[in-house]
Amino acid sequence: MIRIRTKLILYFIILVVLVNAVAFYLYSSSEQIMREYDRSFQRFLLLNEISQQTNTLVEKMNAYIVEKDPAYLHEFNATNKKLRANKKRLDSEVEDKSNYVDLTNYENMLESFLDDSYIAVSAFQNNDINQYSSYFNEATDTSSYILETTMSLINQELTSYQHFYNQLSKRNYYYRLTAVLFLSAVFILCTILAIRISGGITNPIKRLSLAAKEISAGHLSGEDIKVTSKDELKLLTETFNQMRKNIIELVNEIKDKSELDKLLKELELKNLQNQINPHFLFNTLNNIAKMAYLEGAPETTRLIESVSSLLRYNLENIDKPSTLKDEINVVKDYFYIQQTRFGDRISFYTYIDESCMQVPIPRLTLQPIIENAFIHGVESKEEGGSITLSIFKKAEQIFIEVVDDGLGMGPETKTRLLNYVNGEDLHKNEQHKRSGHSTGIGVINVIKRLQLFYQEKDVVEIESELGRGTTFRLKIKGDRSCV
Amino acid sequence: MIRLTRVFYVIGFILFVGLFTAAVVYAFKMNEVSKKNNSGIIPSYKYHFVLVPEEMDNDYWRLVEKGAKDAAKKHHVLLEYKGPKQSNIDEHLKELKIAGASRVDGILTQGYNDQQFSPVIDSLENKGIPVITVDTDAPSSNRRAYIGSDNYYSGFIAGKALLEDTKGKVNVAIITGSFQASHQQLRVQGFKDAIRREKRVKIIAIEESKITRIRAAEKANKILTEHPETNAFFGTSALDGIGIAQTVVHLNRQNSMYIIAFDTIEDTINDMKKGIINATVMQEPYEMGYHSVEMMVTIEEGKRVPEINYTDTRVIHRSDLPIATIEQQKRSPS
Repeated sequence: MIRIRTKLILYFIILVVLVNAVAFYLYSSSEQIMREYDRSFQRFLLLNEISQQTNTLVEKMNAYIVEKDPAYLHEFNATNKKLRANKKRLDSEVEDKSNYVDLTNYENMLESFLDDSYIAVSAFQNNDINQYSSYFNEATDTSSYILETTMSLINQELTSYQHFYNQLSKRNYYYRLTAVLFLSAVFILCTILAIRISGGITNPIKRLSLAAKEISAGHLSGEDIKVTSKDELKLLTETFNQMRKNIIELVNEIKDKSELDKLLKELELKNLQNQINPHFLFNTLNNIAKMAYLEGAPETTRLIESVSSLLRYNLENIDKPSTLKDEINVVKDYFYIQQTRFGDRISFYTYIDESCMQVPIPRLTLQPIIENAFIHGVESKEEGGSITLSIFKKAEQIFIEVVDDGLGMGPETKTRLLNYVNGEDLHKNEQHKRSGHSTGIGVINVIKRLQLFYQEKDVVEIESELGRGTTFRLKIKGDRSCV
Repeated sequence: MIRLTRVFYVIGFILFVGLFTAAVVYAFKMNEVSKKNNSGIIPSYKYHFVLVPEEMDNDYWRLVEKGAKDAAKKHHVLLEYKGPKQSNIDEHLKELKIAGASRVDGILTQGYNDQQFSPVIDSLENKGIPVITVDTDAPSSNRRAYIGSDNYYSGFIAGKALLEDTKGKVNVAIITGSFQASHQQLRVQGFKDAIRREKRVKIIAIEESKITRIRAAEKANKILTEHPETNAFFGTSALDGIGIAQTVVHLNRQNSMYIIAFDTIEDTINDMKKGIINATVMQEPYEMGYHSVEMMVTIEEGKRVPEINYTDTRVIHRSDLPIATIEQQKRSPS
């Protein structure tokens, strides 16, 4: 992961180095131009200085010889030294291909001049009149040649200066072009880098803020935000995506829960509608049972007791989960009531694995299914039929199977049911049609509640064929005690 | 949007690369310009000689220079050709003194005038700078050697040619470059000696042209005005012949006039082709220049050279032209 800070620092370093390099290059180039200009100017100054010093030297020599003042001798020597020093500079500063012949002569003339003037002064000091006058004349002659040659050298310099100046202005022109091009190149590079880097930071933030806005508006289901960078923003984006996923899951959970609540409320309401005064009815039924017992009618007593217990179970709080055992007891009571009604026309068989009797199960799940088997399976079948309830364990799952040999379902009905099982909603009015149940709880309600209770879709299997009966199989998770 | 950004980046990058490359190219160009400025190696040489002619822009002396330059190139000598713009003894002497002050290795010069040149040449020799006289000698000086025509002889053969080419009475006028210049004097003297015994030839006037063409023409005009009987001219320096020819043509007397000139400069040859100038004395300036440098190199090497070295002189007529064939004839045997 490259951090944003590192990126920015790198960018600034590149920027500073680049700009400084270009600036330095341009500066040194212009410096070079200035140096060359300066050097060319120095040549003039040097030549001029030499000619002036030559004049001074002649003057001082003259003055010394005429006035014999040692002060002049001192000045003569000083000028002599300076001129000698300047002469040495000629080779390195002025000499080039175009003037080397004249310059060699010039230097030699200076040398002759310096020597002659020195000898003249020395001879004068030694009172050697003949020698000093001839050397004095020679030196004076040579000084005039020097002045002349200086002029011609300066002239040559001026001529070549024209060429030099042309070159310099050409160079200056290139220099300006180079500077402009370099600066614009650097400007473009910096702009690209700036846009790229700032884009690298702001684009993910922009995407994040857009997504956040959507979420705050309630649109949870968006695509994941793509990660383009490898910096802190990657972490932020990934975390954001994860958070959104979590929120979606949470919302779904809450939705499920509220649906369960809604279903239960619905049931309660229906129950309340049905129970005009259930406690009164319940007490009365108990009285009748006692009465029947006192009047010696045990059959009646038993029937009423069954009805009473069915009613009581029905009255209890539907929110509270029940056990498998209680469910089976209710089913048995229900069956007793039905058997009294239908007599030998129907038969009820149970095969129950007793080990799982304490498994929790939503209240009133089994009874509606059995009732369904009665109503749709056996009730209308004149030759009678049988219903078998079997409970068994298999692979850590408890299977509750209700098998009837009744009319069976048409493929349409079955498809509708299975569709529902697979999560597709039915029309509301269709639910109302399915009344006729003693508890008012339909099979669909049962399945829904089971799905929500166990948080699983796959809780029911239905096998059915017209005229051959139906098998209704519930699959519930076993609890630790029975597995 | 993303594609647009990409296009932007690509364009930006291409722009950057282009600008940067252009900048580098111009930076190189800039450096190239400054490099050129400082280039130029000072050539090395063994000796530094100066050739001082009587006049810089003189066709004859240019030929001397050419010979000297060729020899200088062969012997790695730095040869300077410096002299007065117009023939002038003072300037000529000054150039010699400047060369002395410049401490050159050797001086090649025209002797010109013995009295004025000898002290200067002697002082140069005293300083240890060898001097060779070219074309004209300064025999009383301490110069190491002389190379050039035998001027007396060349004047003499000019006189001989006049005698051969003319018949009857001849009134000849001489226009000489300078009365002071020793070579001019010698030429005039040689000419005079050649015609002395012939009674029919008489020297009618001698004038000085200061070796300019205009002066020569002027003097010729003066002579022809003062002495209309003049029917022959002798010009002893290179430009005298053509100056005379100009005047003669101007006065339309070219048919009755015999002109003998000196040297083979182009204008003289042209006038010869036209038949205005009848003959000229041919010297060998190239040889003089070439051998003078070779002799100076020999001196520098510490060897001795003969003091007097005469180069060939001869009279040529129109029939001998062109010059190239003469030179070829002359060079092939040697």
